[in-house]
Amino acid sequence: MAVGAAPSDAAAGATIIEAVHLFPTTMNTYGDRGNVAALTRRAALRGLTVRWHAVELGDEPPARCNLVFMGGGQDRVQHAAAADLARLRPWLEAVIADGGVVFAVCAGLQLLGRRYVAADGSELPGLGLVDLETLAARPGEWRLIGNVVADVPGLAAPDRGDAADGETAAGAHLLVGFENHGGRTFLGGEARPLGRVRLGFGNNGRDGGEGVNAGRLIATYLHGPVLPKNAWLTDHLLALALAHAGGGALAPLAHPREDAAQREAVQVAERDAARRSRGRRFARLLRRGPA
Amino acid sequence: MSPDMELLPRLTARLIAAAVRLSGAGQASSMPGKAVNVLFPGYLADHARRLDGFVVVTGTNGKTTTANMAARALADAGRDIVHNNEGANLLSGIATAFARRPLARFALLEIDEAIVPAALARLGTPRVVVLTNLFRDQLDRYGEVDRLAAGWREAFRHLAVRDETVLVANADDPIVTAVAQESGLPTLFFGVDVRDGRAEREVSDVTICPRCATMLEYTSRWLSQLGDYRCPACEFARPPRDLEARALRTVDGHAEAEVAGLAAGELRLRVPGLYNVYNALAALALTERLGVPTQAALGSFAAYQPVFGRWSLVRRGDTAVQVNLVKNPAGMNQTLRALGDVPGDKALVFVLNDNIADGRDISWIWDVDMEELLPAADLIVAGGTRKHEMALRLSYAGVADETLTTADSVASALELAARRGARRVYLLPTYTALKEVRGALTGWEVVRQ
Repeated sequence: MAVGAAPSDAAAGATIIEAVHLFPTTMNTYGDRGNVAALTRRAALRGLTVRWHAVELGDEPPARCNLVFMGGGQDRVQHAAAADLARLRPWLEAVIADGGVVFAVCAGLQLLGRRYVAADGSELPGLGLVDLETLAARPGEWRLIGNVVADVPGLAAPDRGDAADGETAAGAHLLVGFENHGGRTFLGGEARPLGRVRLGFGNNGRDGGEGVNAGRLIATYLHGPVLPKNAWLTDHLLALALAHAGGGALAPLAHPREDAAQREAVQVAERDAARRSRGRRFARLLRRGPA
Repeated sequence: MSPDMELLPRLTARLIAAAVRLSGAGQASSMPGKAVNVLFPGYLADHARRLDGFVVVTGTNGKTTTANMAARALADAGRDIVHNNEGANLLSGIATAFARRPLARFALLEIDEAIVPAALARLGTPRVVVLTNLFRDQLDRYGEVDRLAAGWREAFRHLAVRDETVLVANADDPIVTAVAQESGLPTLFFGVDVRDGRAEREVSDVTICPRCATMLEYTSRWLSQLGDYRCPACEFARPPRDLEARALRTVDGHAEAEVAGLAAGELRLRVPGLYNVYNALAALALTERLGVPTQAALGSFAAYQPVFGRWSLVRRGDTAVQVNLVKNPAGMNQTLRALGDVPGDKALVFVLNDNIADGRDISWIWDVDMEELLPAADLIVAGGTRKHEMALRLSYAGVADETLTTADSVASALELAARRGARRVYLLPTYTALKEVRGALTGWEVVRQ
């Protein structure tokens, strides 16, 4: 049984969402299978089939595609992925222009931007599909690691046609997950972050932004299983993909287990924040002695 | 530091050990050494210099069991060794062990894979370094597998200058093999011959050639990146094995195999699983190198009882509980596969903590082949600080709602299992959860296997 597949498959004739997992073998550092599982599972429970196509380095992508997912990767493989992505740029552009959706995580987010500037000043050109750039950690800068809680304003409702049309839909969401990145990403004037961090570092640890939301291109630093415990984001991506596949609106579906996991992730992020602040108080005390 | 100058560090360690035990805070396997290392920064290096020699076991999985098996064989052969045998594998654990057994002249040290360079910088030149494997583990603590391998390379470059060290390396692991070959140190390669090709889907960090970054080709692959690999673009390939296990089988829940190469004989263990065969092979290569006769070592392994939390078994009334530590996808897959080989009704309890020692990032549970390997169970309980994420993972893997539940503590998970009439419970805790499991099973009878 495939990851996340429901016991019974969709009935014959139901809409099929064609999905591409980009470079699943090379770009797979952190539990990305969880994202694939979430999309497959929440579609299957609605009687929909997500048909996954693995596109490895050098592979030709399928002609029909409603959703593209790209995960994280180690530095060594990121260069190979960047080179091959340049080849796939026209295809990705066409998917987005045609109304499909692209979701990228961590290194995927970095590669979709304009460029990546390494610590030695050398540049790795990105796809430039979204207005952002990433600077490698400078000497003395830490990796940004830990649990994240971010507030996401209402996302565009896909059934209103233009998903890039900002906050037309009500309903803010919580985005929770785990980040681990050395690169600091800065959005250009035209790009909006996906969320604002309440706890954690986000894109660069300075401006409070987390990820990027360019309507049909959504990316986040929260790696691996970000979709399972953020069911609203899973459903948002599915709704966009389903509309593109000609399947109409996505049916509502409860998510009690997903929400329980989300509440738990908020709790551990708060626990970590409390620990850090205790640690800082203790360090101050050691330096200065009791007041 | 002369022997009597070590008196102060030893007394410190003893005092703190007594305090930790009195307070009921645990085994006192690392706190005493932590204090000693702070108060007497030269202690580790000085003590190591006075030893006749030491050997190191490191890698992601199997360190504790490999080191414990080898220690058992060495002890049975009458060797007086000091060994950090409770999995306390940081500098603090090593100092604790030294202070406990100050007169032992030879040390068998389990060392955390991330601190190998720092540890060898203090301890000096080991006679043997055993490299078990390098899997994706606690990424938020250690960074990427590539970076760990780079640390090993750097440490071994220093050893190569002295040329007194032999490596024992897993030939089936491409990254371990690459590190060993590049080190220039003489190496004994061990590996297993698995031909049933039950490859796992679980992702691994090493699928590209460590030398030229081309995608590796496998004729057979049995556990994460372990398998029979070769690079289509360069010379890199799985090296010939100096020591190999063949004809692997599970008999009555115990692993058995034939060993061939520089040592030959029948391997019989009291624990299940392919990875325990790897552990025994690595231990055998080490004891061969240290001059223990092969049949004596195999006899010691056959009598080896697992330590608590490594397939250990306890019983109360007609309920049996088996506990196995799980901390990364490769280990969890192997555990689930071993459980699938055990017949009969069972209840499973996963205890997933995300404390610092477990790794705060629990993404790894999504890389486990739950869909393929989760054995049929009457009851599956998720516990720990991340019980709801574990339950979600299990639910997405297809576990029915009526089989799946969460519990706030290990004790209540055991109660749930008892209420459902489960006679055989498998408890799979992460590192820090093991302590709670130990507490919950206090008073249960330990069963020899």
